[in-house]
Amino acid sequence: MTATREWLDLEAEARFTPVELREVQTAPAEETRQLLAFTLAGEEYAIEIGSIEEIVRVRPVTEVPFAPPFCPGLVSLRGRIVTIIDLRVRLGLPAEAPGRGARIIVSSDRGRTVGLLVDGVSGVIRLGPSDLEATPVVVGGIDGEFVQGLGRIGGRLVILLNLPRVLEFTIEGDGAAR
Amino acid sequence: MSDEPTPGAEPLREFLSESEELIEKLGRDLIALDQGLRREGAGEAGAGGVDPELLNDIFRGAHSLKGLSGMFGFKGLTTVSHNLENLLDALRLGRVALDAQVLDLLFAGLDLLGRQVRGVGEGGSEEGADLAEIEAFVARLNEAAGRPRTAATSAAAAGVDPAILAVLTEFEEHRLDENVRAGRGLYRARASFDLATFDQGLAELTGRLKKQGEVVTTLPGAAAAAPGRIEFDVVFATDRAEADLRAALAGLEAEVSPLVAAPSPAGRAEEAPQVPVAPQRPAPGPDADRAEPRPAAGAAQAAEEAESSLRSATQTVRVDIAKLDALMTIVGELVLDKTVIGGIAEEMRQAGGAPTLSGALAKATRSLGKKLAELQERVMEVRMVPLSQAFDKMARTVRKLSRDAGKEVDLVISGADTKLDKLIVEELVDPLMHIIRNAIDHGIETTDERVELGKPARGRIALRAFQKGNHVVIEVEDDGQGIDFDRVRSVAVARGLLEPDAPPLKPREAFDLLCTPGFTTRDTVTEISGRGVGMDAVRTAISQLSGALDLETTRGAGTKMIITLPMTLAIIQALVVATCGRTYAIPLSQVQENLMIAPGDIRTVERREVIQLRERTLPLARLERIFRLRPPDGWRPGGGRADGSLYVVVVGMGERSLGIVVDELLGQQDVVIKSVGELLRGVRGIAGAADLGNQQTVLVLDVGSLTDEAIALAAGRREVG
Repeated sequence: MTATREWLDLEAEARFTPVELREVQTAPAEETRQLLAFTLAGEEYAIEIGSIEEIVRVRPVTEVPFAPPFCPGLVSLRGRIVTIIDLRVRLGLPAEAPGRGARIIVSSDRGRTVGLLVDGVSGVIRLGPSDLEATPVVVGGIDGEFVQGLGRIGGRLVILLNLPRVLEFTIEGDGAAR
Repeated sequence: MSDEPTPGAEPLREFLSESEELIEKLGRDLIALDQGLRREGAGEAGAGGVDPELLNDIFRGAHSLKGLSGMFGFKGLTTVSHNLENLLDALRLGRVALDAQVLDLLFAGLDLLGRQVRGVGEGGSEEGADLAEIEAFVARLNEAAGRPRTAATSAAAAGVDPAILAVLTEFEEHRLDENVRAGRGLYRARASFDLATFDQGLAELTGRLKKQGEVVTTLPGAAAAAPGRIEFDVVFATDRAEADLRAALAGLEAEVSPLVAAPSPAGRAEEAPQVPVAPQRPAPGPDADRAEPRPAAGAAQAAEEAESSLRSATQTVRVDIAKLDALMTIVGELVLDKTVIGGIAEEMRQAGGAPTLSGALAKATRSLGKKLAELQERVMEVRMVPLSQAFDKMARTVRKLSRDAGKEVDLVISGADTKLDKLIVEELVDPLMHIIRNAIDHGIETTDERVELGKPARGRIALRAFQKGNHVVIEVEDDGQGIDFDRVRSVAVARGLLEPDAPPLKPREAFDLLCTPGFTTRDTVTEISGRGVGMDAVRTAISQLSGALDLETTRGAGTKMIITLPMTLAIIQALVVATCGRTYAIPLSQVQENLMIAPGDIRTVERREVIQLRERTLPLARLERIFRLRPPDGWRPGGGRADGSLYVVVVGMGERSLGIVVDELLGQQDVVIKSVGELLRGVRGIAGAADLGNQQTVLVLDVGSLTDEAIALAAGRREVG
């Protein structure tokens, strides 16, 4: 866990700059979904834009005892305490120190606010129903339970994450995540 | 937490806070009604021991709730409140007699409404109750509302002028009847006022009359008044003598004449045996505000008042606690900014450039600091609410649980106006409920047992709150059978928590065992408690509020639970410490003193580190062990001071003191404690997180649970389940 802390310290001076998620409106079809695409271990993933509050640069985290390995700790964003989830570790991908492009996507689901640590943010994408595919059991090396579906946009394959499932765990005092 | 407002969320929140408030008020009023009814004791059913205005209030509450639910389209809520309103209307008009059975129905209705509103809050729909339940309940309400009541005496029979009776509303007539039945005298005060200022004059007259009895109605005078003047007849009921009335109205040009003569006070007891309970007024005391029965206005007026009370501005604003939190956060950040500015001023001074300017800056910063401190204090004040918000709920709990358990229990509340941070008061409801449940289920004996033991037949739970220094103390004391330590010990042995040859338990040890998850001394699980969830949950909840829980018990005489809480959670003074490469904050209120010790001072007793501190043995705790921290490379306890010395922060109280070993004391600071969030809530030893400024976030230690941990380790208890 100390290692985790060190890599997050790399950008300790990085100043907080929220990225605005503005997008040019182009006649949206009713079923079209807007998603935020980001990268993890070379693959592209996406989550619903509605659940996202802001995107911030990586900053030092405060380690929490007994937290599971995918939770390097807490950050305070303008006085609000946000739990950081290292998505690579959460999804079972190889852990790696965040590079210059790494960001924290602050999103909330049913009252739980978390900061998702990702390798980089690629932008907003729109997917119509015809762009969606059924989910194979294992996608890009991660467990199918975390995947909501697959999207194809141009030649890119985007993995739609099932955010509620990703955030579905509680931590007991003894550190076991359930 | 931080769920961003989605469209529709804001009005829904308003609905929730408004309806919760209405339901809380209804609950308080029903409890008052219950007490009134009980005081009435053996009196004639519904003979007016109950403040008519109270019934009107309850009626209006149900009415407002109906309107509110209708506006938001919650059908179930509307149905229930509508039918409740009907029953209440019948009650206040005297068409249905108020008895214990009807009161139970009203309480049940309130419960149902509460569940429905909670359902709305949780899922945005009324899933708190299903349709069948609502229908069944409504049927019961209607059955009760349809139960006719025969009037014994009536105002008409008592000889009231039919001309007056003809213009009374049903409610007014009912009040007149009730007063006749209660043997009060009915009078008419006739007064004439100048047209320009009649409202003041009339208010003065009714104001004085209200002090003497109940104003039933105000009618415009029947006779033609002089030009520029207007005449009123105020009909009122009282048990005072006519001469007293005239004295009370001295100075007003009002002419008092009896509508029906009152029985003479001396002969009343014999002449009016139908009124066994003398002046039907609540005794003064805790309910002094109700001691003066407020007058009932006419039904039309009542409705009007209900309308106007919705519009009329009390000088109060309802604020979402989240908004206050946001305000608090900003204030906290301003304080941090001020510190930075102060630092700059100091640097300027040391650099030696522009001494006048740096001096002025330093002065301005100090002034800013003072005002910020005041701002902080004011915002904190806004967050403080009286404990009655939690205590009122307990009155309902006691009523319901004691009935369920078939025991008779009185709840005596004192100090309900003691103020605490709103969040603390909210978080207190569940723990208090648990404690009261335990008291009713395990503490207080059945009526038969109590009589046999020579105790008063009715059990008693005292709920007290008072301020003590910087803390608020809440006590829940019952006069039940107390806790049997031998029984606790044998259960603990049976469950493998104690060795069979363990010595008799000390009170503290017994209490710690009671707070073990899943611990219960009950053989059977009852409806109320005995499932073994309870005391550990209570202790955890209290310790998360940075409070402490204690217990005093005497076999056969009762048990007292004592909760000590800080006044506010929002801002605390903290001691900032560093150890094992990490920084933590410890609430200063929990710190006794700081020591510097040499490694040689540490001794080991039963594999446990202790030091000798003024003739007592102080157990030590090392955070790196408790939290299983990975030390930074080359780290040694004490942070590598050449002599290996260590700092010890002594926390806790008395027997439950603990020395926390740290590398450095970094200083004191005001911090705003934040929850670590839903996801990390279960982490032991952590009370929350706080921002120190400069993007540095630290964890705030939960001294209570660290002490528990250390004690548990020391006791070497075997792990269970």
